[in-house]
Amino acid sequence: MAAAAANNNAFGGFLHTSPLSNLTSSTSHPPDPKAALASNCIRDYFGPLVQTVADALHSRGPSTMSDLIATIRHRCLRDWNEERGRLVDRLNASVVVGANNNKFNKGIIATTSSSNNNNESYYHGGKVTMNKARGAESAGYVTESSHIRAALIVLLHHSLVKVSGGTSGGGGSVGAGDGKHKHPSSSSRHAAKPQHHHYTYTFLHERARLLLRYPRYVEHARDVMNDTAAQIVECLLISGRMRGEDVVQSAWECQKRKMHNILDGEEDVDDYDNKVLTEVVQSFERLVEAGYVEMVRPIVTNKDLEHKGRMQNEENEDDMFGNEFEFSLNEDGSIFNDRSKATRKRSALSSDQGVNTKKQKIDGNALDDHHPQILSLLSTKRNLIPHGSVYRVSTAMFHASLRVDVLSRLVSEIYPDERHVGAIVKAALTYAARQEHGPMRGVDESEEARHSRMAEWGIFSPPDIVPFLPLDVTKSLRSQVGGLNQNLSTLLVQMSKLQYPTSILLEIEEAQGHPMGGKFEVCTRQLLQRMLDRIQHRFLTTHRGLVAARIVSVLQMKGHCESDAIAEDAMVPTKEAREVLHRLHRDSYIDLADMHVTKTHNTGTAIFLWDVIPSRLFKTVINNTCTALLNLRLRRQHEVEVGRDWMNRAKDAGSAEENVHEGDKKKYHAFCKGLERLDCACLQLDETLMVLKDF
Amino acid sequence: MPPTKRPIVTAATANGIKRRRAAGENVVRVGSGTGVGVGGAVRPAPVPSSSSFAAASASTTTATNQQLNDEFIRLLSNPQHKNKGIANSSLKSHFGSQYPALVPIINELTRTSRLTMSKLTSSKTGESEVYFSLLSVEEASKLRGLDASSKMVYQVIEAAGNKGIWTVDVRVQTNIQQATLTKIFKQLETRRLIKPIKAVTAKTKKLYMLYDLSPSKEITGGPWYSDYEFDHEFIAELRNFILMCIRRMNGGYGVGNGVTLKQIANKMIQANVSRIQLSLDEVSQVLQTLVLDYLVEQRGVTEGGGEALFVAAKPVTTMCDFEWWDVLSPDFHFRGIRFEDGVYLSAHEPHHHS
Repeated sequence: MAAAAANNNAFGGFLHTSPLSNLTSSTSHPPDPKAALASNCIRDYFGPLVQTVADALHSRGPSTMSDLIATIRHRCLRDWNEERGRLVDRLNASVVVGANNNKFNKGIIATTSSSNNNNESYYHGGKVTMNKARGAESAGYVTESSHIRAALIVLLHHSLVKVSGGTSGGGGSVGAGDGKHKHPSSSSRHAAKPQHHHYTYTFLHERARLLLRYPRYVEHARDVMNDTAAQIVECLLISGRMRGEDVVQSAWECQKRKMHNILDGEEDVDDYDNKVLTEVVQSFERLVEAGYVEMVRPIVTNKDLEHKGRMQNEENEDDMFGNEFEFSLNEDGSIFNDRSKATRKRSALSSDQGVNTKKQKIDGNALDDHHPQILSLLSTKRNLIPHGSVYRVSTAMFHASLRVDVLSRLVSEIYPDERHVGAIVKAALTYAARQEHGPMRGVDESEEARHSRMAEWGIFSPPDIVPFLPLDVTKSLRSQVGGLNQNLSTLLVQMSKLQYPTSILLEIEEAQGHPMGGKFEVCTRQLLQRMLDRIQHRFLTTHRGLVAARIVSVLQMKGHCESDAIAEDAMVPTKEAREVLHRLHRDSYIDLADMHVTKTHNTGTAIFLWDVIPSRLFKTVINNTCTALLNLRLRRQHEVEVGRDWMNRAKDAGSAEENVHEGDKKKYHAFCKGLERLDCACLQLDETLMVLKDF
Repeated sequence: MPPTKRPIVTAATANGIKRRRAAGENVVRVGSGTGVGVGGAVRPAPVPSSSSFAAASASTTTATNQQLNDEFIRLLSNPQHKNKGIANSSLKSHFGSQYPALVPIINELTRTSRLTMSKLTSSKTGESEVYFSLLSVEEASKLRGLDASSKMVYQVIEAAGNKGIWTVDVRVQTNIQQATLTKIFKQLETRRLIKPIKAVTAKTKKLYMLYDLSPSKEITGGPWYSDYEFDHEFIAELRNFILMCIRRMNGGYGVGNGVTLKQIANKMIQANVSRIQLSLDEVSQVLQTLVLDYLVEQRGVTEGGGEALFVAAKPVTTMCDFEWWDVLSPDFHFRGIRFEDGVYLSAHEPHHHS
């Protein structure tokens, strides 16, 4: 079926789906646009094999390793003739290195290259192997369990898969229907294992969609901090997660490379490197402190697992930290926990798939590998950056921070004649974001205390937001009679009285007589809702026209209405209103209820009422945005695929004579501009999606 | 057609009741009050047999009839019975024993087209009753000479009021054949009793209404239609004027204390924007569309009256700059894309493998 889908691909040779994708190659309206977009992002960033594994996990839901492998094999493994398999084995056995066999081998090679499309056999270092997959690896056909494991580890490393479970059990619990292409020796191997831990893997497709947004995070880090912070964020995003020391090392090296290119031997390089390192450490500290980078529990390596297993006593049976591991998984999703076994197979992460995920070692010897200056600089910050702690980029904090920018701009645009309103809202929301996402240092609080603290998120007194106010605002307030806090409090009270068109602030505790100048809270939800309303209106205006947007607004305001009443309110002719209503209904923006007056169905007497269900409208807008984004990305990928030769030739424009041709150059530049436009459109859509879905 | 062949047409039939034909009679008779159905033909009062007695009492009867006639006309001219008329039961109770004597009066008034009868539902009893109503002399003169069918058609059209009535509905209600009906319409039109109109909602339907009436807003579409066409330009002009007006009165986008609806309406009158006088509701309707389009927004209410204050909305960054929704079309992948500055990504031919 998957092969049939690939053959029906209207894109010709261009493939963008995995064998387990629920999206046919040529469709422009996927059934689940969000999942399709996530799948496409994964293929773009990690390749087709990881996409296959992600699609399998998404289609199955939470699965164990064995279920996952069985599912993938069921779709990717082809039925091969056992006789052929036997012949290949026999062939390998009879291969003799020599002059005669050279000739024979060449024949095999020739056969392989000629039948490359069928992927029937491969010649690997004098050994013939038979490809048991239905299609090419480049199309996402994967059957080897080691490859699946490697892909899963990539997903784990980038926090795209959640691991749960870990309870010990007996043998592997392969589902009844999943064992069609089960490895023949798996059951016998299970029987030999003394203890297993079963983990369930869940694909987080909402997070996969954020891969598109990584450049935005880097730019935002540059905006709110500096270039070094942006470099740190970039390093972390590329690697998924890293230890603090590695982050510093990696960012330092990148910065050094950049700076050396700029400096070109003008300055003392060592001094400059030290300066850069100090800056990297400081930026990293700021990022952690501000919550842009969050500490996560480390994925334990096999070696560490063994070490820990030896050291720990029996009370901790599952031997794991934080339910996340980097390990060699057996086919049934079990972790082998036999402590007597001295060696353990490493994960195939950096095997022939070329997946370059870093394996972290957290023992003391590994730390010694780092530059002593890094360790010395970090030693003073161990309170914030503990030894061996692992970090990743906090997407939640980045979204909160981006939301601050959007909402503060919105407020200053709504109330242009109110002084400092945008700056104050920005400061208040930044304070709230830091409260929510900032690290908790040395605080060991109870659940109740945590809940009460969470309830206080966003509530502030004037002195709380002063550090986040711009200097000119602070200066201006300080220069007035009464001082900074008093004036700020007065300004906040004034802001809380602004009601139209939307409220900005709530005065939680009265400012008058309050020792801290009152307590306030930004009406984030109302402001955000206003922004969403504007986006929906703009979306409908650009998609279906101003009249359509107005009609939706009328329905949102009045509820169920007949077309005549809608036409009157929207001030359009009834006929036009009906046409627009039907178009909106076809696009699932609005709903139609037909109420029958008589028992029998009679359209002549039925009353047709139109209505907008906000959740459905919102969902349609999001789905359309995702679909548009997916289609644009596919178009871009297709363009790149088609123009690959052209681009390669253009890269060598200096050396190859044909590229010097002016016409060719012009066409190439036009093509590149077209790609830029597609990129720009993708960025715009992602921005919209971010506000709609992630704020 | 000779008068004798014409059917007796009452207002009852004009209101959907099956026509009945009283042979040889073309007048309505008021019954004695016993066994006479409402709206039905009534029998004449018994006449005394003695001719001498009749001759002696002739002058007295004439005087009584004149009084009765005056009383009847006075009653029908009463403002409370002016529009709907007076019910048959009310006549009975009012005139009592003199009720049968109304027969010649009613016949005479009907003959001169000064009296119309219609069957309506009584608000008190909820039953159908015959109502008598008096027409003015002018109106009567217009109807004079019309046959019963024409009068019935006239009554049906009159009942439709200023909303008019579709010709098909007239035919259904009167049960007159189309050819005859066409002649009647023509006759009534010639005498300027009725006029054909069209509704903005269904331009192909021919409606009729009384000549003197003005069509209702539902029929004409109000000020937003001219010549049965929606006047987009007029509305666009009004919208632009209101927007400009709000902006200028507030001193820019998103600033100022706001203006009320009345202030906007007054400004429109001063500027003589519209040839026809727009009501406050109509101005509000236009203003509301601007609010729905996020071009105008409410900025508080007045302190005294609680009237809404409006300002011109300042354009805000919507974070939705993408406008190229062709990407959602099924053949997007195979379309050529031309950008504004002439950059073109060529189309790809779809490849369907068998």
